[in-house]
Parts: sequence; structure tokens; C-alpha cells
Amino acid sequence: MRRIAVIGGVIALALAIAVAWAREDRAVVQIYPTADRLPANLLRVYIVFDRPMSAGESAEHLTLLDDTGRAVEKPFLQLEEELWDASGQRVTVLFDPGRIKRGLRANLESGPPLVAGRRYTLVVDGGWRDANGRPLGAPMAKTFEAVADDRTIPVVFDWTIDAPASGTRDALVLRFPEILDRALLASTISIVDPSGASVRGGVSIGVQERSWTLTPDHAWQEGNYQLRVASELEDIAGNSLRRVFDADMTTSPASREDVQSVVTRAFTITGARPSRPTR
Amino acid sequence: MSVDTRTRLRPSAAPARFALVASTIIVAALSVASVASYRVGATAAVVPSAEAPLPPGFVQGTPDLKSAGALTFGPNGTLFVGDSRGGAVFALSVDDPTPDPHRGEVAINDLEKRLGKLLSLAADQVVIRDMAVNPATQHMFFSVARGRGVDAAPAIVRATLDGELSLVPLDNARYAKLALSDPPSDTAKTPWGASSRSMAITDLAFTNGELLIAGLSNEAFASTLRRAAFPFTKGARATTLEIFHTSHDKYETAAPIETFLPYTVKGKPALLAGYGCAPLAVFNMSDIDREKHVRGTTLAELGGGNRPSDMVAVEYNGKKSVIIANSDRTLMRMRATDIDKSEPVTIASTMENPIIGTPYTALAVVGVMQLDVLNAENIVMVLRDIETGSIKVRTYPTKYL
Repeated sequence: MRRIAVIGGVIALALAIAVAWAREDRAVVQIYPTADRLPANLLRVYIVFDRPMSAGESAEHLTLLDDTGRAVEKPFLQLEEELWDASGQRVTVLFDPGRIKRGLRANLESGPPLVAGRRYTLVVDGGWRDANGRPLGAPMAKTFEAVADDRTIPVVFDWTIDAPASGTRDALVLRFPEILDRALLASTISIVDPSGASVRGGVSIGVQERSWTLTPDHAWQEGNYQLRVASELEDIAGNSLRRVFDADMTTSPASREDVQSVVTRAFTITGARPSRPTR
Repeated sequence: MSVDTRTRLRPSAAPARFALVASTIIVAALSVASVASYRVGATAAVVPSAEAPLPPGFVQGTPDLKSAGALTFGPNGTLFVGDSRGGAVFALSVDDPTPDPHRGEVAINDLEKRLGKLLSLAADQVVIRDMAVNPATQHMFFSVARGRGVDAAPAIVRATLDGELSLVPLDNARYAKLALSDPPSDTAKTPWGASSRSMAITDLAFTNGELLIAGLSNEAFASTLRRAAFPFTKGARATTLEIFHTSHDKYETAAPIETFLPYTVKGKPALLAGYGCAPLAVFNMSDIDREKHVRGTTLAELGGGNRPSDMVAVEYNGKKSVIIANSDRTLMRMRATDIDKSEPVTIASTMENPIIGTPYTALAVVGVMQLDVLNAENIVMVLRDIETGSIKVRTYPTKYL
């Protein structure tokens, strides 16, 4: 009897290993932001999967553990409809804004979901089902340290523009002093050439979402270019170019009416590549 | 960490294959389900009458409804359907001419199971998104997802007050479409470009010839309210405005509206808005008409960890109230007179004094997900039974509200 149980156990284990092997350990492709030090008032996380997923499962299969291994109680905003992109492969998860915003009852009762100085692990468990109802199988975790709150708006004029030389198809690189929102980076920035046309090319987002690179389809011309950034661009704490996520009205207004809906910054491309990036 | 996120995020052939297979399955399911509907609801099938002239701005055909979420009724049997996945709102002219003869209480049990039978799906594959009552007939209309995948096909189902269900046919329907998606950006395209931007439509309301649409972007955290005049003109787009609400006279924040209700506050047209982060705020319609950025004031906080999911206005014997369904609190009643008397909340709640702002009465009903006014005597609720876990429909007499 015992022998049968042992053989059965071995077969079950072998099957489990085979299934895990066949499935490949990459169901969750990436969790954004990718940095491992994040402001305690972090607002938005993106989880990217390698396959279309079932909706309505994040509450059950996404957990935030603190540094004692305990699950943080209700850290995320629960929505009737989860925020998936059209492919069903990327879900947006918002930390509960009521707990982040100062003065709200949720913040007073439960405190903010993240406390600066502590370490957290975000766990996507293997039970999350794909669109065909199959569990992912392999879990994925991201550990990070919460650091001081970020309650300031990103300023385009604080960015570094690493401009290439004219006549080349070298990449233009923008570097940011803080982490910006991965998704908005892909859709809010454009470069306008001296004739006023938008420069076409391939865009990539750099390490820890702190740079943006454009490799143009055609060579750069000599002359005055413009960096144009839609003011809806946010950092990872939800501060946009013209609005602080959670403003203390007694010290500063929430919205900056002086910031235009598109922020424009001029720069020049010359024959010689500048020895130092423009700041 | 590799810099080239493009390679990793580029869609592979697999999703395309999946989409092909999925769409084949959906088409097959649709044809099975539409056959089933005529069988199940043979006497009550909702068939559009071909004779009536098309309302202005409407076309006849099959709307490309990719999902069906928030619902609300407009004039002349127009059902507005929020399609988050397709980035649009559809106005469907439903053919629902005969008032329901049923009077009194309504009790429909096991709604997911019954919808599953109608749609040839297992009960756990039926997702009920919203419910709206046709005020002319008292029939309930449900938006339903056929499955739990993000690309699950939508269905609109009509329920009589005796619980008879029938599928609203979407082929050869009379409809008008309002696009919500932003025009494509001229930025260099990346796999994360404008095509990934979507908006979850959290609520719809029709007031004063206009459709109001509240939603939440999957990227930017703006609190955006969209509005569009109805009937929709050709190529109609909604205009947007950003709204802020203040808390305790100190903090000003943007947040997405979860549910809202056009209502008269202090004698003036206003919007009551319930937020996912629990405050209840009020906005003056005159500000909404005038400004691009609108500030509202917080009237009450409905409890940390709680999310108001639906609101309706009721009146009995001249006594007016707002009824609020909550995710983590009971059904609540607020008197219109108390809302009118409310001052902006300027102090924070404490453990000793947890309820601040407009007072409310906790009604002895829990698990309410959707609410609507059925008739002068009753409101109707879609709620999850805490004993069985199944979804049921019940009425609540207005005279006790």
C-alpha cells in the first residue's frame, strides 16, 4: 500500500515538473515600474503578461507582502471593471487613492498602503487564469523598497537632452531625474523638426523608466528642433506636468494653470555632437 | 535590466492566433445563443419593428459593440450602452413597447444561472455588468459579458418582472455611436503607444438632452467627465472636462468618479458623484457648463475601504431621498433635505466620530451591486445573496425609504 502511495507521489511530482517545464517560466513578462526603490505614494503599477488573460481576478491573485511576510490589507483600488489594455495582456493596478491621499478617512483609518523605509514584495500568483481559463502556473514577484513620497510635478526643463549630430541617424536620448510612467512615456512625447513635422522613428524606454530614446527613420537636419510633451505625462506617483496628485491647497494650488497643455522646449542640432548633453 | 523593452513587448503571432480562434468561437457562440433566445423567449423575443422611422442620427445594422458595461435609459426607449473596450457609447433603440403587467414585489433568484442557460454558458462564465430599467415598460435590461476573458463578447438581455429573460438581438439593430477614444497621437509609435490607452466607463447618466460619461483611464489619472449632446451627430465626439474635489478645505485632488447622479441641490441642477476613494462630492451643473476645470465639494465620506457602486433618486409622498449602494457598507439613504443643508466637510473623521458630513441611514440590505427606479412604488436591486453567493433581483418599497 505504502509502495503504491510512493510511486503515485513520484509520478505526480514528475508530472508537475513536466507541466511546469512545458509551460515555460515567463507568464508575467514584466512589472512596471522596474526600479527597486519607489516612492511610498506610488500610484500605478502595470503588469504585462505574455498571453491574453481573464479579467476580474486581480483581487484574488495579486498580493502585496510587507517585510515581515504579512499581506498588506486592501492596498489596491478595487474596480468593477479592471483596467486592461485592448490586447488583454496588460493590466493597470492602482494603489487605493483614498489611502494615499492625505486627510481622507481611508488614509486616516488604514494608513497609506506603503510606508517609506520598508521593503515590500508584489506577488502575482500562479493561479491567475489566462483567457482560456488555464492558470499561469508560475508565480512572479517583485521586491522593492518604499522611499519618501513624491509630491512634486515633473518639470520638462529639468530633463537632459542628449542631442545627436546632424547628418546621422544616431539616437536622441532624454534623461529624467525621476521615474516616469511607462505607458504615458510611450504616447506623450514627440520631437518636431525645423520644418514643424513630427520626427518618425523607433522609441524605446530606458532602464528604470528614466530615459526615452528616439532613433529616427531619417537623418537629423541641422537646425532648431522642439521637444513637445503632453502635460498629461505623469510620474509614478500620479503627478502630471500641471497637477500634483494630492495638493495641499494651503501651500500650493493643485493645478498649475501656467503650464500649457503641451509643454514645448527648444533645442538645436548641429554638425558637431555637443561634448556635453544640453541641460 | 535590458533597455530594449520593445523586443520583449512586441506582440507575437500567438495573440493573433488566439484572436482568430477566439473570434471563431465567439461567432459560433453568438449564433447558438441567438437561436437559443428565440426558443427561450419565443413569446417575448425583442424584435425591432421595421416600420417605424429611424430616429435622427441612428443607423440600422449591427453595432460593433466590443463590450457592454454601464447602462442608462434616455428618451423614447433609447438604451445607452458603455463599451469600454471599443472606446464608445452606443445608443440602442430597443423595441420594448408593452409595459410589464406585473405589479408589486419582484423576486428573481439565481440570475447568473438563468442567464447562463439563455446564453449557453456555465453560470461562472456569466458576468453581469449593469442593469437599467426602461421607465416606459419597467423591463430590466442587463449588460452581460459572455465569459471572463478581457475580450469576452457582450450581450444585452431583457428581463420581465416575472423573470422571463430574452436576448436583445444586436443584428439589424437601430443604433447611434459616440466615439470616446482620443484621436491617435502623432508620436512615434511604440508597442505601448496610443493603441494601449483605454477607458473604463464607470457610469452613464442622461440629463437635460445630454449624455454624461464618467470613466477611468488605464494610463493617466485624470478625473475626466465627458459629455455629449443627444441625438449624436455624425462623427460625434464627447467633450471632456477635468474635475477636482476638495477635502477638509485643505486637499484638492483629482479622482475618477465611480457613480454619479444628476440631482437638484439647494434648488440648483447639480451632480452628486461617488468616488472609489469613498467621498461623496457635489458639482454645480452651471460650473460644468462654464469651466474646463471644475471644483466640487466633499459632502460626506462613506467609509474607508468602501466603494459606492450605484445611486438612485426616489420620492414618496413628497419626501425626497438618494439611495446609495456600497461595496463594503449597507444600502444607505440620504434625505434630500440633509443634502441641501450640508456644508463642505472641513474636519477629518476620527475613531470617536467616524461619520462626518451629510447624515445617512443604514438600510437593512447588504450586497447590493446595481440599483434603479422600477416605478413610483419600488426600486429594484441586483444583489449578491450572502447565504448562497448567487445573484438575485429584489425590490424595495419606496414608502419605506
